[in-house]
Amino acid sequence: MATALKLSTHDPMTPRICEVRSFRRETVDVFTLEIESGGIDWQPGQFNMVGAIGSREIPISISGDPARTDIWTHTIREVGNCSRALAHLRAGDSVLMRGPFGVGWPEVEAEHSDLLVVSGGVGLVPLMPTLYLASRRPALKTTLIYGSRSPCDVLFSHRLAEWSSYPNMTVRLTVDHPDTDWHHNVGLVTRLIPTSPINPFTTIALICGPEVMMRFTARELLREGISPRSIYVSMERNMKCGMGLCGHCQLRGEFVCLSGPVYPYDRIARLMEIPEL
Amino acid sequence: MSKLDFHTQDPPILEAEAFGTLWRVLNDFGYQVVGPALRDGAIRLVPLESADDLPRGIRDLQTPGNYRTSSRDDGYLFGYSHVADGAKRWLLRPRTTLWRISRRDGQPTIEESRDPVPKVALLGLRACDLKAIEILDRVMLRESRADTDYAECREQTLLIAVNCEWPSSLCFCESMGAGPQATGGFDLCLTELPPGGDRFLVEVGSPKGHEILSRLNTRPATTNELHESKKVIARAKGSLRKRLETRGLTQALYSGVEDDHWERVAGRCFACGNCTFSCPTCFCCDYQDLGEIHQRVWDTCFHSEFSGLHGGAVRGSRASKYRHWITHKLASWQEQFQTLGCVGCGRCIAWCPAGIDLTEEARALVGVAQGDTK
Amino acid sequence: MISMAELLSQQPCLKELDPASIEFMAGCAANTFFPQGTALLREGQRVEKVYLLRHGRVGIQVHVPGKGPKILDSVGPGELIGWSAFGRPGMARMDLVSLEDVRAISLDAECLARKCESDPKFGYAMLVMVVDVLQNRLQSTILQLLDLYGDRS
Repeated sequence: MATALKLSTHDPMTPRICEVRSFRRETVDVFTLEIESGGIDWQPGQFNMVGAIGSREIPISISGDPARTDIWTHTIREVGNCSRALAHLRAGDSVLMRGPFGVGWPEVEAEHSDLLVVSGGVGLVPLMPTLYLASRRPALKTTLIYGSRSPCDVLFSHRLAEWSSYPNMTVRLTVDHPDTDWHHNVGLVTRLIPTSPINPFTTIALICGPEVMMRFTARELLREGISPRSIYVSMERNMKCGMGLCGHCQLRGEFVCLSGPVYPYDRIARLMEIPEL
Repeated sequence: MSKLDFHTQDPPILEAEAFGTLWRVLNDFGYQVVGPALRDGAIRLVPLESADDLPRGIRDLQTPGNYRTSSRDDGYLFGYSHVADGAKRWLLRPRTTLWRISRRDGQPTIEESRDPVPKVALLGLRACDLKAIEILDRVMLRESRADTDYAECREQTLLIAVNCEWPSSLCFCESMGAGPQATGGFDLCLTELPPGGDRFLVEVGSPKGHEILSRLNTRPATTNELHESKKVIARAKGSLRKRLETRGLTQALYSGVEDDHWERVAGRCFACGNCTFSCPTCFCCDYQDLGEIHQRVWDTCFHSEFSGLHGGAVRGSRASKYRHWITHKLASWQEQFQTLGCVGCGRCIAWCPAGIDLTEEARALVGVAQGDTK
Repeated sequence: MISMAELLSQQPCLKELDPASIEFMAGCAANTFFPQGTALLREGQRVEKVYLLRHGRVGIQVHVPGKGPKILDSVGPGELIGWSAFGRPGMARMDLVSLEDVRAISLDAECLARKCESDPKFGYAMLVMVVDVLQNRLQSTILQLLDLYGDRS
């Protein structure tokens, strides 16, 4: 018995071949690729499946300024074969792209006059598009709390320094292992929450980093009185197809590639607490 | 005569000789017949040259961790419970090429050079197999994000069911609302009448099925034959021994997520993945790049790489893998696809080298949940 | 000018304290200033003051022979340092060094301790406050041990 299904003209499982516009090293193990996008729409917090030719594709968040519609900006940490293969790409090379996929960060609505962004490590990457937008909204009071392993791992430091001079933006940096030149905070990002001026009724909080860090940060924010519905986290799972077909990224009933990676904390809090779910 | 009149007519009888012509007729329509045959010690779904390839007089015996065939002393062609490997491998192919990269003037280009999709008539599907296909359709054919290879295979496949008269001791299709009687989702559905092999009652389920039936020699069924067909199905129903109570199951699996019970299952589970490969609805796939060929291959949630992040697997322990599998089948599948992921075929029980029985595990978890509320 | 009691009541870690306790604490409190690079305490020194930071950050450091001073943690506005004054033998376990110009409220440890002993209700409120501070610091330290952003090959 046959089915009546219309297939779209472009199979979302088939990648596009796109040209790399530039390669930039950010830190010793993090680099940024700018890739021509062909003007495809995307939302802050969404991800693409990116692969070097002959290598497996991997999910990578989009980290660029949403104002740049001609390119995808992907900031990638070298942790395995696939990301290392991407690190060899240079301007003019071809790269395989599928996407964008997933549900991104919520739009900061008018009722929220305060935006709190808490990120750790490369967790800052998917939050950059939102921060670009926030930097252009003088009425939105934005606080970024950003934790890194050491001062040399701090990403986008020039951009962050520029933003910290904006009247509406506060940037609070912290590292686990400072060097002698470090003049910011030491310790985990959670340490900076009790002393950040947070109005629980007007704040929307976006968190991205290692899952443990997100769990503890979210709890710290709840202690400050923020509603779990105003806290969002971005989950990392093994996304492969991007369409809820392959099953790899499941978190109980959620296909993280489809209903995530960004979730309101009240929807995901319980699932984050269960080991190995 | 309007197109759908076939639904209202009494189903006719196809006798042995006419049944034999089914192959020629299906070939005329361009279909290769794929049906049950004894292969590798199991009754499997394979290409069949003629009715002679069918497993005449062969039955299957299934117990936890055990599958055997033996002869039966009658001429039934479909005298077994169901094929060991379901229809899944013909629709969601175990390994298929999605695209490849070729070079033109040194520039890489993508070619959507899929493996050819065979036009097949799947013969001998049971009600549970049809239900499994219905579930797979929900998974694979969602609006705007369908799996193209599955969609094409599905489009090219004719479904000819044969009502189940011989459930195994592991079958619990009735609990899952999947059988034993096929009530839809087929192009044609046969009921093999006693003493087996010489008369089939034929129901039509689609215009295509009607078209094919009209090319076969049939005769009207007698009142007695109609009665017989009901009797054999009722007997099959009555012979089902295994049950799975689905009420309260989702809640029990969710609330028991941190129970010690999972460790006890893990003590027996090998995390081999047989349950997922034999399951007619397990759909998880991986994507592999072999040189410049990109393929979709079956995967199993029992492998650690399945949930692997760069730091390690999300689900590393056997307890968490088994918990994920059964919770997906019997609870979270409902959230995702508004149906459970189990059809009650019992294949995962027979093909589990440790004989782990998901109905018993589910019952144990429900017991845990009820203990909590006492 | 804002009174010491008002200043204390604005401190995040004291927000659960009742006005009478705040009033009492004000009696043990004074405003202090440390220019950048000052040692508020050195390892092994007797701790005579507990500090509530108002501006600037203080580093908690350990001197490692051959490697010099290592900053392991930093404490900023709104946080409390010097709580080893409440422990025994009331000795500093690590160095406290101002990383910037620091303004703080100092609380005389002996004055607080006497009050805690004579007024168990006040003592208990102090205990809860210090446990809160410790809990936050301990959790952060434990999580730092995970080297969450690390595992660099």
